[in-house]
Amino acid sequence: MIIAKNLVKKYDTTCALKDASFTIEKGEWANIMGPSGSGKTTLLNLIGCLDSPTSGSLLVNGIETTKLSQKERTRFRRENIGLVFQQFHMIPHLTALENVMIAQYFHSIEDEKEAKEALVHVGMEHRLHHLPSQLSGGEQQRVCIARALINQPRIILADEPTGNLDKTNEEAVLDIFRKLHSEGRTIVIVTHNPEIGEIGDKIIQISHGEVKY
Amino acid sequence: MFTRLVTKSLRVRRERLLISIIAVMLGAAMVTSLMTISLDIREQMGKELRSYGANLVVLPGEGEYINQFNATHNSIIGSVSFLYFKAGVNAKKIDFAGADLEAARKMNPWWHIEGALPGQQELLPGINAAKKLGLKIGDPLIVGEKSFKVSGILDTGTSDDNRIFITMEAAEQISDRSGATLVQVSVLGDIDEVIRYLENEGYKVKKIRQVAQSEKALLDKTQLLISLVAFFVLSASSLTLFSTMVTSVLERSREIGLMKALGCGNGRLAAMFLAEAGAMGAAGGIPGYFVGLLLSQFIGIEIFDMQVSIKPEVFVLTVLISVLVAAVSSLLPIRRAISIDPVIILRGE
Repeated sequence: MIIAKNLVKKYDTTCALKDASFTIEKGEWANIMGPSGSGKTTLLNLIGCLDSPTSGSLLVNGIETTKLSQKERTRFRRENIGLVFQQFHMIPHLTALENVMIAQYFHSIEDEKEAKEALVHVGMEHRLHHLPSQLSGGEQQRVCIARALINQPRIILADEPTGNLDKTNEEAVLDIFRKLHSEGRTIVIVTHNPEIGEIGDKIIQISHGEVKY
Repeated sequence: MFTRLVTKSLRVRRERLLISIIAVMLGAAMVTSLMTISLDIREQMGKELRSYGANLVVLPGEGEYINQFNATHNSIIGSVSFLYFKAGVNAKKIDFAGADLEAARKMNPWWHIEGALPGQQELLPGINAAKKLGLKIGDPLIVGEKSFKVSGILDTGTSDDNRIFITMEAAEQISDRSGATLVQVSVLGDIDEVIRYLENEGYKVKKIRQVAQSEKALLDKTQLLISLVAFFVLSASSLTLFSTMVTSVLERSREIGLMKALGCGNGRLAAMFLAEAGAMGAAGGIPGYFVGLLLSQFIGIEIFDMQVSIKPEVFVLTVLISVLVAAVSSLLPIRRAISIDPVIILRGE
């Protein structure tokens, strides 16, 4: 469960987020939508403990994350959050399988069998030992989703996960999210895509740093 | 996974790392030469100085003879007493020297003897004395009232070539004297301390073998020169490594941000970069040792006329120093890597 109260994030004189308050229930699919530069990614960064707010309160899984040190935020993120990025960031010199195992390694201990299963889960069993440069955009995004899922996080945060994909791959990725949602995971997606907006349980609309929902 | 991350990361950048590895190799070569010369050549020179024989001559303090030379000092590794006197041979006054000739030969290893050392009724003329008297090996010679046979001819290249050497017993009988007129002393260690000790014991002492000191001075100077070169080359290696690591951190800031976003702690990140730097240090240090060994062999032969030997501790120290230099050079770049904000990943920067 995610509860934000009066979240403010300022960069120097710019206020990226103004008094944002919202709640995302456990197992809910929430879409954060809004125009470019409205503060969507800032909000996602705060939920994912990649950044800390200037003021306000943010409870994630019952923990007040605004009070955590940088080291504690890293640990919290490792144990509770799965991240999927728009640009499917992967370590270029590691294979698909190794890119999944790296998340296991940072979390606790790597398990190749489990990592293979995660890739099978996203339909990537035929590309286990391929480097990112040998994979299509859709395939890379599926590897990233497998990586985000490998440590069984309670919350999955995705920033424009289908932003760089064609229609077929977009559907394949959305199917995976639907499956995860049906398994009871909390999903928060930043998106411009109105079709994704329709799938979720909730839309958090942001405009000029202000949340409306 | 740690090893896989480090090795794969090094493998993809191997061409760019080559310059740093070569720089470390040069530094390691200097360190190896320095250590080999310091340890091995110094040790060998010690042995050589011993082989130069005596480095002190002890003379009687009062009177003409040293009756019993019984100085005991840790640094005195050997001594030979000589009894010098003149005796008439074929109506000519010839210089004689009596000594324990086996010990004298050990003390003066450059003595070249054609034939054999003399026994009780034998003598060993120096090459000049033999010419003067027309002596050959096996010739008889009457000295005083005693008859001797020439056992060999001695060639020393010194004034000793003008003397005839005989056993101490024979010398005492012919000269009718006992004791020594001169004692050659071989010292290994602080020569000045031994001189003070002997003077306190009532002897007159003279230093010989200035060669030893000049060779030691040359060694010290060579060592200083190599130390300076090693210092500058190591500094240059360190700077090259530093710039390689800074470039690596800058190039990989996305990768670092991603790893941090995935939950990689600062300690683990620092360990990865340290391992990469350490691997570069070792990759330069190991071949550097062999290059250094060749260099020190060259210096040893060209300057000191000595072959250097392989010392395992030099190898271990060289590789350790190389790894340490690499690790220290990467500390600042690692600090920079740690400070990378994982937010840049989501921003797509």
